[in-house]
Amino acid sequence: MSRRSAWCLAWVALGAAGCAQNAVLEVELSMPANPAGDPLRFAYVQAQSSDTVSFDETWAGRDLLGVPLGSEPTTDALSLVADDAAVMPRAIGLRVRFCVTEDCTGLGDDRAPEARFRIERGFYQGRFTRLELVIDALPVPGTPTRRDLGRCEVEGCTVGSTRDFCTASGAHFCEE
Amino acid sequence: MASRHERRAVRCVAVALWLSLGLAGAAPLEAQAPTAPSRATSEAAVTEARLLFQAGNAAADAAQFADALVHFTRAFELSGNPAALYNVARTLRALGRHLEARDAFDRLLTEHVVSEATRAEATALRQEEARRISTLTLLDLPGPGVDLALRVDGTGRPDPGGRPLVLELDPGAHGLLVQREHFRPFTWDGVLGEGQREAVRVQLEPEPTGRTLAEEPLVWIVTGVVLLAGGAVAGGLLWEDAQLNPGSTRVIRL
Repeated sequence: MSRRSAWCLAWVALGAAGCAQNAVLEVELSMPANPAGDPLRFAYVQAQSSDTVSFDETWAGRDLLGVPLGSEPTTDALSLVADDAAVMPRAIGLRVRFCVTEDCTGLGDDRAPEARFRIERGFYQGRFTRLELVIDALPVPGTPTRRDLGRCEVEGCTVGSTRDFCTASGAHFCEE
Repeated sequence: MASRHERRAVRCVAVALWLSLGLAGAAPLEAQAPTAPSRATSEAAVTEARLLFQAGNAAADAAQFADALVHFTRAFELSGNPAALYNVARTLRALGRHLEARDAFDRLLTEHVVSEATRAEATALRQEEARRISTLTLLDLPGPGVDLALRVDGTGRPDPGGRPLVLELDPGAHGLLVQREHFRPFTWDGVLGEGQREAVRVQLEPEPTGRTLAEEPLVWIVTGVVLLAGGAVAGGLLWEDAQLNPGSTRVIRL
């Protein structure tokens, strides 16, 4: 590498350092109470980013240990982070399984109640976005619930009250 | 400067010597050293030598010893006459060139036949001149195998090889320069009195590599590496700081 190239790289690195390259989607997940008489269940969350999110497959990795449900509804805050710009335009799949073990490997956890969410787009480079997801009750085992959220339902990049988070032209505020 | 007595001595003794050796005519010298100056055996050469001798005497009388030296030297070259050599030695003495005067007396005493009176006087003068010669002893001079250059008063001096090297010098101001490849030149300047013995420690220090710090490629390479590494670290830290930090401790990276 020539001396000039090295200097250029150094300046580019310093210049790029001034701008955030990642994106964060903060998710607030409201979970139901653990049903009385049921064994303790853990809310086991998995996330995936893909052009075509498929819940029919088993998702490996990128998951957190389960959070125990309480006797009252609880809230779990988690952050989804995209470091790669190529990931950001993709849809996000979120799968919440209510397992009897915190790592969802217990007996019968393969048929644990499951709530599924598909988010059209949640990441915008250098921006924070936010989403509230509510699971009112435990889904029926073997019959997952599913909710699809459009990009305009993802909060961010504006202040004040608004019906959704897209402009009249259909672009998300975070794209402005 | 030579005194009046000195001037007269140069003339009278030399004339006497010239006559005593029977060379006032055209007769060639009887005693000749193998290394004597070129001999003028022709009458014309002896006549010219005589005229030069007389001119030298006149110059000495006028205290013009530099001119006298030229005349006497040429007269000796033409005739090989010890009287001319004697006057050369006396004139050198009058000029304060004691080293050459001693050598001239030595030559007269070893290479020529002169009268006892002249020999006694020449010997006394020779010893007097020898006592006036100063010496400069060079200590710590590298061995003769080393490529050295000695210059005294701007003139190169051969290195005879002896250590410590003793240089014979006339009294007065002198400058010494000792040069050796890849070493800084050593210089000494000083004034030597008559017969003074001076010793000088010759300290030859190696020359620097010749490159300044700014000309050392290694310095620039190290500087460049340090700057690049520092820039990379600083850039990395700034990049980390600039990134969005998740609000929750439960993070899934996609």
